[in-house]
Amino acid sequence: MIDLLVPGFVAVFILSVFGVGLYSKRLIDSSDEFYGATKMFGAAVITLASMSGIMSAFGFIGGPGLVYEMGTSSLWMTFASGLGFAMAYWIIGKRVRGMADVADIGTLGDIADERFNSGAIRGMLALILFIACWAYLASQVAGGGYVLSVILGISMEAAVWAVFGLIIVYVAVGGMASAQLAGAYTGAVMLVGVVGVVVGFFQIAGGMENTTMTVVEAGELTGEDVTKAFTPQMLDGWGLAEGSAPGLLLIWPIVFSIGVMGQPQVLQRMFSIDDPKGLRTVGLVSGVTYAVGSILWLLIGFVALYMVAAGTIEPLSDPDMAAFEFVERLHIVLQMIIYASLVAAIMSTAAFFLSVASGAIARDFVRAMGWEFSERRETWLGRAAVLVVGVGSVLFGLYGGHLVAILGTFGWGTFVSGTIPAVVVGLLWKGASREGVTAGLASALLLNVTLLVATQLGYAFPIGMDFYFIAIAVSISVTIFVSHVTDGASGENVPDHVEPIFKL
Amino acid sequence: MLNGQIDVESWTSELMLASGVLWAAVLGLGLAGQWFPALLLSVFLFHPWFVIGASSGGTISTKLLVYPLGIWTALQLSAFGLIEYYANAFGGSPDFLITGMHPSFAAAYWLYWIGGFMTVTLAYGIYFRKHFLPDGEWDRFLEEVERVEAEDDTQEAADPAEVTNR
Repeated sequence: MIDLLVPGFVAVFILSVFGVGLYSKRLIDSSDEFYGATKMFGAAVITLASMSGIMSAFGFIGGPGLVYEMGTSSLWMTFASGLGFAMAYWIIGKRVRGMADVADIGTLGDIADERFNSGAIRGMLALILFIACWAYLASQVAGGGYVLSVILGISMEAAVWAVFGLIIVYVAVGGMASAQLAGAYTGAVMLVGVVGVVVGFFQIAGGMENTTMTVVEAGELTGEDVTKAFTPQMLDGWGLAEGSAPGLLLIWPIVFSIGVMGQPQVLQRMFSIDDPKGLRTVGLVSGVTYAVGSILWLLIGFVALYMVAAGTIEPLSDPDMAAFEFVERLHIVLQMIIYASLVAAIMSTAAFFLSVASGAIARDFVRAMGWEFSERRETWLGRAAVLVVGVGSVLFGLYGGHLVAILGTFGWGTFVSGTIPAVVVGLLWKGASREGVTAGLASALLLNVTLLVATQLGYAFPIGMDFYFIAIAVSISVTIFVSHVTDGASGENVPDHVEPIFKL
Repeated sequence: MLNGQIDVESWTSELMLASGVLWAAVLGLGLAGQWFPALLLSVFLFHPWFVIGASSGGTISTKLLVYPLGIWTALQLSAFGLIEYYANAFGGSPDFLITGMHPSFAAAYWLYWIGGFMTVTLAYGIYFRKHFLPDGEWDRFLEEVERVEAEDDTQEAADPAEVTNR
């Protein structure tokens, strides 16, 4: 009976998310609402959906696994992200929301096209968004599928087709509105899960001081074929990356703070807010709720270190098992809540990226080519794209093998290298030119692909920097420098209807 | 002094150019292996975009430059400095803990993270209505949007063959 409680509860929760997703079809009247949920939701929904969109399953599984592996280093990702929400709203919030009153928009490509009147910019941005979304989706299938199979107690293929099948159906029916509404619901569940983790941390590790002293004094421990060395450096402010790859300590605080404003999960939600006054609540509270979610990353990672250091469990051969080792030792009610939160994170992230990827093809690519459809046909084209992209990404995630891991490195940084030149710089600065943004996006595409190939061929960048930071810094600099010496759609040539944005 | 307004509109291009130089400089320092100086410099990547984005009607309140921007800058720089100092201060286990944490991690936790929230995030809520989106500003924006649309419609009606830049 007990064995069935957790998978049963999680299965019921998955069905409830499906129900919320289907309900959102009632809210859709236009293709803008299908692709972008434009001006559709209040601050509470957008706040929770923003948080759940950024906090993926990586925050529950991969993040704590990295804490177990390299100490506090990976926490820079999640600490920085928490600050990034308010940064994003200070910098670009009201201008992105303003674009929804300036023109009919449903995607980030719409914003770029209205600003620069360029099919090439819309097309390149769509391509970058599609590549990164596809990579995210395939990673969610591969990583999330394994997690789902463990929780539900069924094969990975069955778990993936069941859960991702439901996601594909409700996103095809409700579009971005379903991703937003279901995202808000799952976000609320994730916050409840945090309470369970905090209780579990104190129950098992006995608090922060006990954890710190146990870990720094543990020395080297060996279990079955696995040795884990504990050092005080693991729990200092830099963690073990300071010795092995300090470049990560440079790029993570940048890419995960300023980079939040480059994430579609945040940018698209800015124009989903119905009343502009709601920008205040979302900017203020979404960062706080995300920070509460960060506690999962921190505490699960720390408690895994504690359990091994204290001899409660043997050293882990797979760091990603840290979260499961922790949760399995908790009361059944806490297990149910935390596993439901984990599934919530997988579903909300997958639904959002499925909607963005299909929009990139069915709306941005189609419009970039100059093809015109009625609103009704455009919406149905979107639904067909959701089905094709969804099934394609599930197949790729399940059977793509090593390619999934390689492409999985596209994601957060790839988004930043595309959206900041086209949307953030474009809306901040009248001087951003069509030529500048085209050059910036072209360099982003080129560098993301070539530098990834270089890393796969064994090339290592200085001090362990990741390739995506180079793509981001170059694409932003190139956009600004080329814009400075060109004038297409910039300065006096800014489209008339976009002019009021720069006075906001 | 803190009640002043600073013109941002006429300096936007210079601020954006500065941000382009900063991004290139941080990357250059990183590629040269100077990760810690690059990290300190990276704190200022936020500044040019913040000044432009937080402005309202082409000006920014000096209050915003002090809090959150100035205080946030001080917190970030002191956090990075203290993290580095305490990371190298002990031969083995730390001599003392701060709120149960290694002193170096405590600087990251309290100054960088919690301090960051108490400045950038909290100030957004506090100053939203007064300096970021004052009452009536959105209505003025919508009036401007309607005025531009009306002008475009008039121009198109007068010369339907002419291609507008919309």
